[in-house]
Amino acid sequence: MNILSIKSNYDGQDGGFVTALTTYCLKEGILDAVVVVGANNWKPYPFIATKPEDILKASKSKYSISPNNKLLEYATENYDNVGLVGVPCQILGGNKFDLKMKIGLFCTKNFPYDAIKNIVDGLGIPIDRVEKMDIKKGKFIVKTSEIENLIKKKEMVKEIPIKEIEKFANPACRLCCDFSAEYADISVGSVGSEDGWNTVIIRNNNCKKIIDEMHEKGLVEIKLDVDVNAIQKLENIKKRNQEINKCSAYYAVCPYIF
Amino acid sequence: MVECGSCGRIVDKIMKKYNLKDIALISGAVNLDDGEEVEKLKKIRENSKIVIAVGSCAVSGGFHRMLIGLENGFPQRFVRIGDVIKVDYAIIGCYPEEKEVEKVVEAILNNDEETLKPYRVIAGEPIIKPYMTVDEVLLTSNKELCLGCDTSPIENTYCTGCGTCVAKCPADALNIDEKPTVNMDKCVKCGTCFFSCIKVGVM
Repeated sequence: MNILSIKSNYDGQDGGFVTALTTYCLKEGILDAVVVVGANNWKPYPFIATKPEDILKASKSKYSISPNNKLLEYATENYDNVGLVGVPCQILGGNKFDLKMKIGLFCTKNFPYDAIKNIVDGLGIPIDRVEKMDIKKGKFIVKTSEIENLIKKKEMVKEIPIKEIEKFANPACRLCCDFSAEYADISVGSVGSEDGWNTVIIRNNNCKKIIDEMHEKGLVEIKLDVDVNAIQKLENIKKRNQEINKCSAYYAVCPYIF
Repeated sequence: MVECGSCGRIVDKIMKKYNLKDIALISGAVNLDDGEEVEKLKKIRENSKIVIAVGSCAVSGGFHRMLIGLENGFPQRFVRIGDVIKVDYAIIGCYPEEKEVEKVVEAILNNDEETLKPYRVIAGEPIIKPYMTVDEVLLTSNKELCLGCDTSPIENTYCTGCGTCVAKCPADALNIDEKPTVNMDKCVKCGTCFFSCIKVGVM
């Protein structure tokens, strides 16, 4: 397992590395299909990308529930080499299918779509005008822009502390003990890297080869300085969930779901 | 036993492939009112060290439990194998993948306890204690498998909305937007959704 900081020239959530990697894999024929998430007005919908152009529709993070894995049966039956991009729980489900590459995303919590819509409305921004959502350093950040005149755009950034909106999160996320997608072949996030860079945890040799190839072709920049403690800190918060789960009344009835 | 034949094919293949002597693979539900069948089952249990129930009909009774047959005017009741004899390992699925059954058989031959744990738990060990470790218990241990036959099998509170159960459902009975909903008219009570759920954590 080794940890890198990576930046690509794609416009993505942070460094655009997942976009770069999946595009590269589809171009080179390493993967025939990737299950990714597009969004309509920030309402996520999973789809199977088979051409590199499809991937562009799926860039940027969405913070709502998306049933990616429902497509895996169809994908694995119709394509030889299937990839999956998903948060840790989706990767865990992906283990039950014969997948070539599992790309995990760091995840602290997820929200139902209605909750996200209400939060964004509460910040005074119509959801169709939102250009980017982000969760960084304990804040939920929404970026939008107003057209000032014909040439110039004015950026607007609204923030709200996560503590205030925690209670609207999907209740299942409170039981989750996996922050960095332990079962993925490769995990990607932003924690521990500078702004505009991705933290990448490589968990198997195949992926290492692919990233080395990308580096040789000049598709990505690589740095080695990652703040491992920041990742560890969030890991520990999730691991603490294991202990909290054991205090739950349900634990006595049915420990197996924890 | 009483089944459609899909699991039977898998069982025949694997029995031939591994040339199993003291491991018995059984598929299908048991007709409790068929004396010969019950006797045959008991004989199999006596003659083999390990009994594996293959497929949902064998493990939980599946939709057979909803049926009452008639033969010569006598009602026929169908139950799972576990109601008649002790089952060591249970593989849910309608039908289960051949690879999965192979995986279990190989794990038994290699004494790989880690892989076998979930299958042993599903088979139902007699556990009746107020507190147990996580790996030792399931909603269903030593009771009947709760397959949501009366109500929806999905507990929304614990659902992350990943969609794995929807892909695994053999009857196409599940639809999902954020949390899955069950079309009970299509559901065949096989328990595949329950077993493939990441919260049950079978890996």
